[in-house]
Amino acid sequence: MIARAFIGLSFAVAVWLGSAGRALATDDYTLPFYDPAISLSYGVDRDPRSCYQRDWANVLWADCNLHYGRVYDGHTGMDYPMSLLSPIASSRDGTVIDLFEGFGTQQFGINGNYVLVSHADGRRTLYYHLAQNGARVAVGQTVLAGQWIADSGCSGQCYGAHLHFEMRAVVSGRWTSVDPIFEQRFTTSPGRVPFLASYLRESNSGTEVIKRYTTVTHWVEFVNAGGRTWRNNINAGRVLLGTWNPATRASAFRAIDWPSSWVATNVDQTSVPPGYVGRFTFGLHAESPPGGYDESFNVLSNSLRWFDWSRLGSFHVPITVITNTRFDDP
Amino acid sequence: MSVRHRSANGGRTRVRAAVPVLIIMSLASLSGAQIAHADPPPPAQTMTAAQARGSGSAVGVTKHSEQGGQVLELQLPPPRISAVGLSAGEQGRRATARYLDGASNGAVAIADGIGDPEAGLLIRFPDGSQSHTALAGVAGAAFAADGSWLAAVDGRGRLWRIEATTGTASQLTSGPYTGSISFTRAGELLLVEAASIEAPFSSVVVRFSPRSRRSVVVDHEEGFVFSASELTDASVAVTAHVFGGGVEVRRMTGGPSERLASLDPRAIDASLSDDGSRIAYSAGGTVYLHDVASGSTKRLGRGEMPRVAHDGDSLLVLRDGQTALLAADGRQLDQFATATVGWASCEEGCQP
Repeated sequence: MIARAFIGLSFAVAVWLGSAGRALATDDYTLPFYDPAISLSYGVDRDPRSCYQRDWANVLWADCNLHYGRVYDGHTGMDYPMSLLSPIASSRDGTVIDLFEGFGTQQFGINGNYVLVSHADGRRTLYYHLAQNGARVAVGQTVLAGQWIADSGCSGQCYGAHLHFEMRAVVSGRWTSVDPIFEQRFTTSPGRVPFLASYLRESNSGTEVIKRYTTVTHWVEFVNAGGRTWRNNINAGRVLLGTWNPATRASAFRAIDWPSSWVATNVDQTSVPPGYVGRFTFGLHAESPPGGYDESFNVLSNSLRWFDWSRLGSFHVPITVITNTRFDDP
Repeated sequence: MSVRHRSANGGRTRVRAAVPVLIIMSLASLSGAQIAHADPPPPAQTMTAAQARGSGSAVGVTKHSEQGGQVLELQLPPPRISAVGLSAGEQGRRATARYLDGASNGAVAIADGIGDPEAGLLIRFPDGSQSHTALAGVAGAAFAADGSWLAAVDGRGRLWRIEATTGTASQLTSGPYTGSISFTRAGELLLVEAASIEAPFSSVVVRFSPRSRRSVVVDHEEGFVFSASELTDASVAVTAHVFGGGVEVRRMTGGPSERLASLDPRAIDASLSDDGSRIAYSAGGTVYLHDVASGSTKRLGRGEMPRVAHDGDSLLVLRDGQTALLAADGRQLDQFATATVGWASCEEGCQP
């Protein structure tokens, strides 16, 4: 519990510190994957000259060398190393306008597999080097920010599995690559993954003692550490608290207010923007015989993605069911 | 994971990283087919046949007379790159080298490593002598009609002129081009130009004059162009993934393009007969042969990277790191133990 409280406090401080720089950011694109441990290997080269490289921080290198973590000469996108077949997410709401998925997952060559998404602001995002048959969407399909749209691969000119993420815009009448980090299209450099939560606190951080055949109310708060707003009143993108270990397990402590056997509750608030705190309030009803129990929960975005449970302080609720002398034999 | 890359002074360094590291060939200029920055030419060396044998780098070439023409089978030195963790098919694709083109004088151009950023261009002459140009990541090459030089695209998409006998390179343009390269009978080059060499999802076909060093766009249709080549009637065939659609082969004669065929939407490695009447391609690990006149497509079984003969009646197919020669009806005509097999140029005899 102390560890969870520390994590929560640390994150609250981090959110507070980070909010100072967020004023300049547009917050309208998220990183195109879910794993917050993934980091940038090469960003966009903003200098069009051969063997001159300028990264998002305006650092200029007058050479042709690779600068790991920053930029390489002539790079038109952002490279994120990740395992083969990792989930790729749309970085913003949009419509799929093109895709190709015929090359082998690790087929080396000039050409590779990709998905191209058009967005309401007139920009396009490109997701390249995907797996064979790795598109999980079709041309013409509407997608949401954070929606799982493809699986990563290493098709094309690729020397290790990674995603080449490219933002394109019309500049001087011509489609060209732009740098979302330099433009602060992301919340912070290098940006946020769409769905991420960090444990903050709960109504009872110790053991819930429940008299058999009765219900107690429990709430837990998580900071929205991702780049996408949590909602509770629309189907797609709604954020829920569900049973975990294993996921979608029918709970023995389901209360009458649970939407289903494994969904404890939707997030309480109508809208929880990035950096804000979402509360999940739910009942725990004890029918089980007296004894010690443990219920694990995780957050998920409806139809889209489970969150990283470890980031929730491995959230679980220890429960002790005690005898109810009114109904149980003494 | 350990990968090599070239340092600023041209030397080799080793880079180790705890996370997956990728080395990506970088772009040249985005400003079109002009030299924004003339890079120094890559070093070249020549070897006699005896020197090549002595250094263990000799490339053997065996000619086979087969249905459809002369087949060249290359015997190559041991692999330079690790194929650990790759499928048999991918290992075959990344075999030590790749046949790029054959000249009318019997010389053969070879990329001496696929997936190796240090790989270069090797030219092997009929007498066994060789030249090697350190053209990193060479992606495509084509001999000029007289065989005296060849045009080659490197891993950064730059176009080079390589003198055949010496391997000496001089840069023609910075591109970037995607590696599909062929000469027209008028001596111009057909190239595919893209904005990005790492993610060339949108590209156009250009006709490049080596003499004037100018290029003109042949096909303005937006798409993901895989290849372009001139047919016997001097029209240009373009294989491309059409924006938002499937894969098509189009023919251009100067006016609006004509659709020759619509292929499987996952079709890759399309290969055309000289007259464009037959189109071989693979999709999902299966090889198909499409007959343009009848519009019919025949499934020829498992395989990848088909290379159709000049007359379209047979094709070479990669299977598990070996090469099979198939008839148009799918019958296997011959089998070669290596992946590095290709058709000789038509000047050497399209029919045995």
